[in-house]
Amino acid sequence: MRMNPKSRKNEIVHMRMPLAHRIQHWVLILSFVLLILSGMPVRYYDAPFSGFLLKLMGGMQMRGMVHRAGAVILIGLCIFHLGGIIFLARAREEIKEFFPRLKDLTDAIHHVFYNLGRRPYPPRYGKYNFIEKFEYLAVAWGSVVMILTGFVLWHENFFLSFMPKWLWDAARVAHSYEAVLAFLAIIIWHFYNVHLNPDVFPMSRIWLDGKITEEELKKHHVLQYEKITGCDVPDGNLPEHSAEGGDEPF
Amino acid sequence: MFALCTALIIASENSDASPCQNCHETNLSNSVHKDVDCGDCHADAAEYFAQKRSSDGHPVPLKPVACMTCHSQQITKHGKAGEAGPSCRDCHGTHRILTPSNPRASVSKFHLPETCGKCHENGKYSESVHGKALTKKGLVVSAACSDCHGAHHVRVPKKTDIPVLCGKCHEGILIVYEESIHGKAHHEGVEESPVCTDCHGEHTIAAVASKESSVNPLRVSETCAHCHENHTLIKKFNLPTQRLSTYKESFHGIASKFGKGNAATCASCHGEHDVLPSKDPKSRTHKKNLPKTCGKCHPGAGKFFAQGTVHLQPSPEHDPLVYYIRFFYKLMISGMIGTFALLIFIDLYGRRTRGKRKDVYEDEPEEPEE
Repeated sequence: MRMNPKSRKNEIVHMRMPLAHRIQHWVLILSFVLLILSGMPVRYYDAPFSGFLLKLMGGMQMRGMVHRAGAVILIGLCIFHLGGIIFLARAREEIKEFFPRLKDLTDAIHHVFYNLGRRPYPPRYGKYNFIEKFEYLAVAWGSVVMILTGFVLWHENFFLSFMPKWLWDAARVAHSYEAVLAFLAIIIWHFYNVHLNPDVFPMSRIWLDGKITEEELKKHHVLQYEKITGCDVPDGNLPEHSAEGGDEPF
Repeated sequence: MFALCTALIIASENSDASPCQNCHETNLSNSVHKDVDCGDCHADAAEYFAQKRSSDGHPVPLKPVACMTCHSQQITKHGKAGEAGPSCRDCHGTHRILTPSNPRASVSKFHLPETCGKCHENGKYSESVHGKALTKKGLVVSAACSDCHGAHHVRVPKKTDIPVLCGKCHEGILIVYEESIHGKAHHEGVEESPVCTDCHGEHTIAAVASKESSVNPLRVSETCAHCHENHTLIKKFNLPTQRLSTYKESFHGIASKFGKGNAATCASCHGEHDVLPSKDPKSRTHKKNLPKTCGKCHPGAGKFFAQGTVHLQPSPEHDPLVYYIRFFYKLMISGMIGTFALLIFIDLYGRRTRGKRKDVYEDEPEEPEE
């Protein structure tokens, strides 16, 4: 069943992504786009788009400036984010939702089995399902790798004054490949989950207004729904089943 | 009265000396041959007048002038044409012949390109650093045609002669070149070893700073690659491989490719005329010299710059960390993308078939239950 965004006004909505989170996400997008556009021409120096992008940015010198501007934005964002986790009790609570648990592994297997028709009901997800947890942790890991290695590349003369060149080279290779990994993860995995899959196509609006309808919450994050509303939702009452399969619980 | 007398005297002297002036106004006073009589060169005319003693015209045409009568030393061989090449007058002119050192002479350095250009297309030379030095800067020391090709024995210089030939003017460079690996190999008779022209070109030689130059920082890597990416040569002389490809993927190579003129190129580290293999302690790329070489651009470069490889494809033997990180990421990327693709496919499959599947459960509900 697809949610029609226009009918949202008449539905009960819950705040899934408060403004502080949305701003962080927007800033992350900005830095990501800047970094990808100014970084990929170096990674794929032989590709025709590289010359085009470099011309657009005004040459190698400007490319470096754009890249470092993106880096500074990302570093600032990470500091802000970490600051929140350290100083805000609310954020500390929230971050616990992202910790990987054994349930995420079983959920993932369950999800596959459900899609293959070997399980009748989808996994019962909490506020963040295994896909979202993975994406958050991947961004966190990626940022750490990219910022550390990027810093080494940025201040090459300083680092090479005490760091053997092979270690510096390792930083460069890691930076280069991690970038490709991150880019592909976003383009394929994140875009499928928030843009292209039939549930949300053409786009989930959560990143814009932060709101999720109660129906969506019930369908995708049933444990969170139960926690908020205090109602128990048995598997058979999940929206997809009630919509498609009638009222009969399995 | 005095003027009249003088005029008469001159007129009578002239008519005595040679009958040529009666008809010809040819003036040899500016020529190197100003003391030579017309008849010395045009012997057939002189003979005619001597016999006939007539002031009527001589039969035309006259025989070609035989310069060899006097200039018997100058045997001319002109490239493939040999002795059948152009005659003296084609280059030196006729009545206005001047010494080559005279800037107005057709065979002076300033006019040689034009003179040779009557037959040889020379557009490229005029644009070269030598051509411009001559025509724009007026530098008589610059090389013109004859400096490399010779004057009366015109030929294509042999490759083996080129270092010495260029060294006539670029003497300091010749000394450095002879100490380099290329110079030594050339000296030992390795005919593939590059000489001046292999890197700089011939008629197209341009100033290094010019983008036309094959040794311009932005182009030199391609020039070196002519040999250092040539598999036949690499095999024959056991040269290190992938010099250009590994350079191209370095920051230096990428910056250079996209027009950053101060990015390091082959010559920045390996030197130009003094190229030596890195094993040689005198080489700029010898481990112990690397801090100094890298330090040209990287202030404070120390021993750490030398701890690692420079444009070598990482392998488990050298640069193991780089090699394994690369390996790890290749594995990660393919594994992760594969997993994503599979999950997306399964997800779409699930969405498509879920309706039909419900019937299956209703038929045999116990089977898929956990």
